[in-house]
Amino acid sequence: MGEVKTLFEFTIGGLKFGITYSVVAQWIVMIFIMLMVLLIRGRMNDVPRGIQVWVETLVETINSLVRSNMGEKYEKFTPFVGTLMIYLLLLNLFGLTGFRPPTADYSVALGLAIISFVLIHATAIRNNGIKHYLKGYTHPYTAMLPLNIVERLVVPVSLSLRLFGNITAAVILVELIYDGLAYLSGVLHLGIPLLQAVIPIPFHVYFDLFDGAIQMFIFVMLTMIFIKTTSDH
Amino acid sequence: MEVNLTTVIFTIINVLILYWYLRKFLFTPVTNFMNKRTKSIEDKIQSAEEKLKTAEEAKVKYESKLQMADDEGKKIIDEYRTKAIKRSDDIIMSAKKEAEAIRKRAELDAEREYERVQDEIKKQIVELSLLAAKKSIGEQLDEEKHHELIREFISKVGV
Repeated sequence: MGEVKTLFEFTIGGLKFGITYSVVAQWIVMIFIMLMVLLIRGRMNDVPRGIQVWVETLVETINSLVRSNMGEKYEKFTPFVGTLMIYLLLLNLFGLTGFRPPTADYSVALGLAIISFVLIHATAIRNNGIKHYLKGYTHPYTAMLPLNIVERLVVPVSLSLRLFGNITAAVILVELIYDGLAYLSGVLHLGIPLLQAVIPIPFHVYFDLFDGAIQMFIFVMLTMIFIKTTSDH
Repeated sequence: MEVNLTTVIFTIINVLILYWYLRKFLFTPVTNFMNKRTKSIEDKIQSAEEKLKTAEEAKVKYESKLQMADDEGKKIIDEYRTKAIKRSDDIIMSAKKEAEAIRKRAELDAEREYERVQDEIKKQIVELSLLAAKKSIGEQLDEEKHHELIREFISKVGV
């Protein structure tokens, strides 16, 4: 659990990059998303039919989610929020293919949280100016400075740890269920681990589908709320 | 659980690439597309409403025009009817006048004829009596004198 296997390495300008499984899995998900989008493009019709209905519903849902949670002012964040939602959901659901979801690797969760962190503070600086932004750390009085700094630094940590912890726990639980079913099959002298056939389905539904969707939603909602509150303060 | 810096960096890069890609090819075009459609539907509804309004206005206008034409027609018919009645009255009147004139002339003619015939008869009676007197008295009658005499006699008798 948690060990990082480097699949291959390459060097750019003396820097050595070890590409791990998590990165390759991300690429697969990315290629999948891009291909789907390519497929949909050029099929847009004035009268929506078939897959276009779903695409429009998805985009409109994300649009209205951003609008209702962040307000009209932050509407330009829709593409980012939407990207995060689609990407995170598919990364979490990657477990359904039988492979480990990339988000069960803390490095991936941290990378995502860092983007949110940078975006939160970049938006706050852009909307308030650097001086006003820095003044926000001494709010409501200067003595609160260390606490405010900790509060802000903790955001990406909590975001990434929540995502990583939940997904990893789900992966471990499902694996344990498979192991337990295999053991039970052995006890019952079934020859092959027959019990692994249907029984894990509800657990997959709960831990992979439900938990994956919920964790995606929490991550995205918190990102939206932090962008708005940090910027508005 | 150790942090692999390469994975972190690649995750960030991946998200940024995906963000760029989805913004360019999914969110912006689809949102624009939907907004455009919303606008076009709104425009269509508005133009339909405007057209309906224009049509209703035109309807009211044409109805009033129709009413006016109807009234005008009635007026013209009435006018012509009055004219026709007057004309027929005139015609009858003139016919009556003419008939009256004809009648008067005929009366006059008859009267004249009557006088002429009377004169004629007088003349003939004179001739006749002269002839008779000639036969009875002989041939030595002064024609001029006798003529005068007989005419006087007839006038006195009052034929």
